[in-house]
Amino acid sequence: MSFIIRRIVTGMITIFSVTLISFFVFNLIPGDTARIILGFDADETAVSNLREELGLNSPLSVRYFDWFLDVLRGDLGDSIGYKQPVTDIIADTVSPTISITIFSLIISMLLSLPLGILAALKHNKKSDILITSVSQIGVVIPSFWLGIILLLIFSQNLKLFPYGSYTDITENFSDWLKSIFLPSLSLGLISSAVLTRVIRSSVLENMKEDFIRTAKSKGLKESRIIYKHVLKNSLTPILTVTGLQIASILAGTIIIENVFSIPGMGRLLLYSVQRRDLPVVQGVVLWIAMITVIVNIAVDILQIAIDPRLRS
Amino acid sequence: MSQKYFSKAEVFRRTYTRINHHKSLKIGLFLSLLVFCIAVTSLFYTPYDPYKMNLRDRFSAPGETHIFGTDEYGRDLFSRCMIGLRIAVTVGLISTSIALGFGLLIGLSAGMGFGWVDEILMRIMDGLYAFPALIFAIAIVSVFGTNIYNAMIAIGIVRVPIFARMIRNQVISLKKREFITAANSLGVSVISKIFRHYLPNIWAPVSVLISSNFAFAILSEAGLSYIGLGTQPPVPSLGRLLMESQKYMEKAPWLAIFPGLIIALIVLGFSLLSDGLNDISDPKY
Repeated sequence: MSFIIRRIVTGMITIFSVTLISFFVFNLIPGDTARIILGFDADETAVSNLREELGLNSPLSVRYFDWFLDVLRGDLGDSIGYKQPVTDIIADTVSPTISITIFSLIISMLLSLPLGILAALKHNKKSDILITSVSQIGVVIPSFWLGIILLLIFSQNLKLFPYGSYTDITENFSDWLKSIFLPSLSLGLISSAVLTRVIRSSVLENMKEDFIRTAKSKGLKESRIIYKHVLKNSLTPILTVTGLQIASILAGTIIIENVFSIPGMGRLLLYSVQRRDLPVVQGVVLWIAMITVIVNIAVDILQIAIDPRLRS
Repeated sequence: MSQKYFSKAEVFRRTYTRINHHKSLKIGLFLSLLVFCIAVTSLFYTPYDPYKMNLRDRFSAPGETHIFGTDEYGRDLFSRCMIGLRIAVTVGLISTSIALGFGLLIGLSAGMGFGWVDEILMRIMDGLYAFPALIFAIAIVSVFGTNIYNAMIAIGIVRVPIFARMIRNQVISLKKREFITAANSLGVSVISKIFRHYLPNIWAPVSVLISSNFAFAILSEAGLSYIGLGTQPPVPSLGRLLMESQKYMEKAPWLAIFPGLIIALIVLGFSLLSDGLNDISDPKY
């Protein structure tokens, strides 16, 4: 229990550092922020009003403290381009991004678990060499390139999946699945290549342990040895890498949404960068970083719950 | 436990034997050297002018005249890919130098400094590490402007925590070794300790990280350029070539296939090199 509390406290400190970095990066803009946002030929009164609106006349520390309190209340400020609260804009685009992230993770786990275990069980045999080689190729391919190739084959040539549209899960389940399948597959396949390698090496390492030899000499069935002993002990590194993969998939979604023209947070982020709508960019970046920290804390706590050896 | 000492020639011979017995390391080394050679060659030679438009040759399929085909302006894709590869190598070199430079500074300060220095620096690194790399790079580029220089700096900065943490951990474990205790009791200066004791002993894991960082930097630059936040036109980075190819995917699929394959080959080279270096630096290998 004390570890969980300690982990939550360190997580809070990390979240604090995340807010600090987010704030200072977006306040490091060289020159006058208001003038940069409005353009160099903007009217002086408009620049002055925006400076006042953004609170740029106060000292940096005061501005950070005010901003931090607003963030705690869920207020990320107002968008310059949309003239709406950033929180509302993010809420409108969160569904496709989360759908793709979760579905990619499901694809990744469904592929990597059996393939990783199979490769370890058939160590140095043909199937192991095949799985290892394919996963090595998967690790080096950019997910957005795989997305382009899948789009070319399945969407443009075979017309099996839609392009440039997103249907919400609440509207029509099968259309929702069709709209997120190819982007999720692009990210899921790349992520499964990384996970397969980790699962393979973790299972291989555990197979050499004394307790596995004992289980084998007791005459236990191989399937029981795998599920009851090997997998249980391999879960810690698998969970660590899965946590990292969630962050990587979430970041990958930002690019893959642009490949498939899906109106999620990735499109919003890119559109806001192009229009220099910095409050929105800051909001999206902070939101994604927060999710990453929370996932990492959850993974650490889950590891403690699964593996009692880590409690000491 | 007795400790064996080898002459420089013996160390070189043993390293050479280890490399020679590691197949994937040899492939990685070959691919990485090939990438560097092509990048250098592209400085003074490309089969065609990569920027010269030739509307009569628009969308020529790959063949004898243009081995990778041509784009919508009739420009030779192979020549453009050579320039893209050089940009990828430049991004790898500059961003890795930034990550290594700051990583060394922060890692050595945290590892060798007082407890509170270590604590503060590592908490800042934790905060930076919490940002998915690409997202933080997008944030930096959005603030300082979208161009290749800012993209390289951004990609370098996001990797500082990884270098800093690894170097700090290595320094802390070395601090307990006898030769460092001996250097301390002899009053050896900090600079001398860094250059004569710490750096030579952390070089092996750092070299693994450098080659894996090359792969990361090249993938990140491709991603940033693909969404228009890296290299700006008319400079043809590999990510930008992929972005531009998407408009003509049905008409000219080669425009999407070749730049992607080149990215994959470069990244394969550096990741095999990194894995191989990791293997041969392991004493159990």
